[in-house]
Amino acid sequence: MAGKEEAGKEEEEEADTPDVPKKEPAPPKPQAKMFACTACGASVTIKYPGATMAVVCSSCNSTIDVTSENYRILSTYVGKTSLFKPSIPLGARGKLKGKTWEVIGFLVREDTASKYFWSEYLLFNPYYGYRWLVEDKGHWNFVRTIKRKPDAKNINQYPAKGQLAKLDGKNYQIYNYGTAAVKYVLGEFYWRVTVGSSNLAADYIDPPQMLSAEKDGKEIVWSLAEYIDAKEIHKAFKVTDKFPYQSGVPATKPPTELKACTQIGSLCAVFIIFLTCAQFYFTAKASQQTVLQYDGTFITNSKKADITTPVFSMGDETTNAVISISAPVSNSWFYVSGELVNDTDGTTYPFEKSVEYYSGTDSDGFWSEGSNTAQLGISSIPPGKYYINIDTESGDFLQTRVQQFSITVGRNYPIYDNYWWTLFGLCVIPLYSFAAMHSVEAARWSNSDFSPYPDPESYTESY
Amino acid sequence: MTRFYLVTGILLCSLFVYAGMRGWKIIDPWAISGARPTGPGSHYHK
Repeated sequence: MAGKEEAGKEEEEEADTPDVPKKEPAPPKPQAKMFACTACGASVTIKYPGATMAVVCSSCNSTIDVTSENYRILSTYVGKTSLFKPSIPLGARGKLKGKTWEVIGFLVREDTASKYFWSEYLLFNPYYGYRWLVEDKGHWNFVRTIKRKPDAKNINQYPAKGQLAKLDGKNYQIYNYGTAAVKYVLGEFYWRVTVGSSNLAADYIDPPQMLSAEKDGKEIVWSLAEYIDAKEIHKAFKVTDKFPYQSGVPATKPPTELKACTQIGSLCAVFIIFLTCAQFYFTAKASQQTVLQYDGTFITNSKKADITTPVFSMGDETTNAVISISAPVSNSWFYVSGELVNDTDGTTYPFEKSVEYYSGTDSDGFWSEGSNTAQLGISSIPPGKYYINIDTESGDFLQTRVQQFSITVGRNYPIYDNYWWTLFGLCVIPLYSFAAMHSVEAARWSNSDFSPYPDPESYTESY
Repeated sequence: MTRFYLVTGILLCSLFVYAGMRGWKIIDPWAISGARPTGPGSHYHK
């Protein structure tokens, strides 16, 4: 935060400090002090004379040192500008974090290198001291200075990517580093603020919090910011105008996507472990029992109808059936049209399958296509007795001859397709969640010079 | 989204277990299902 040493009360653990009222007392009667502006003669009012060191004349925007006998001018600002208008009017009071605050000062600061600017609102409560509201691209942070010094490297040195500052067991990662200068001021401040004054600043984030360090002279002031919803501020201060439009992902946006991705990832792992164990169980339990072995004959280049196999049992539980058909085809085909028939109620499961095998040689050598065996599966066959009716047909350009074929029926085979499809289904949402998280985090870090995400503009293509 | 995924995951795993117990291939574009016989005329039924 801008400014020198904290002139207000202790912020940390203030609720436990014996001399600080636990229940917020009624606000004191204002003891305003008035004087004539040294620059333009307009009347200037100081609402909190005991705490304020600088005030800005609302007429000519000169910053006045109120501790000076002659009300020395700290800086002048020629003409007002409509570019910087506080979204929360000075003097507005509102309740945030259980305490009532009054907006007494408004600052616009900018990064001297990039000219990127943001707004800061100085809040004051006579019992609890000072706080800040910082607004950047429509996103807000509630800030307090802290007395404790985090474990961090010297702010004078340009930080390395990934450099951390540690406080209360949390690690904050370097986000910004540069010089922040005051561009515009309004209201009262607890230090002699001047337009154009600048501080070396470093920001570290652990969303939704940000640790900021500012070097003012030889002293380094640390502050802790926390993301706060704009609607909460709008409602608290009863602001009538709309707040600045929100754009981009702020540095301190609560990491809801990251949290969701972590939780979903953990759930996905549990589901996959369960799925794998279940698949192992079903595979081990599958008896892969052969219930029918039927051998028949067919004449090539002819049809044969109405072959019926003996009755066989499909066991005493609902399971799948695998029908394998073998024939010694060679550059020929053997076609079976059949039906699995329940001997009790006549339910039929019609099927058809071709067995084909072709081979030869060409300029590349030997080639082959097809197989002498074909398989098909039928799901969820109820228990009971069954038989198979088949018609056969074949084609063999070589000759007409008698050939043998065989049909094998097996039951209770493991199904691997279910495992892969279920795995795919379980991974869709985690992949989406990861993509959403990555997108938000990359957007969060897009405004930082220390982003752990690669800059898309740095990709080069070579042809 | 986490709660939605929890529900979806439990449903998918339940479906997998149900299919595994009944020998049912969940995604089978060429699935063969049972049909009642329509009467004499096609195949011989005992």
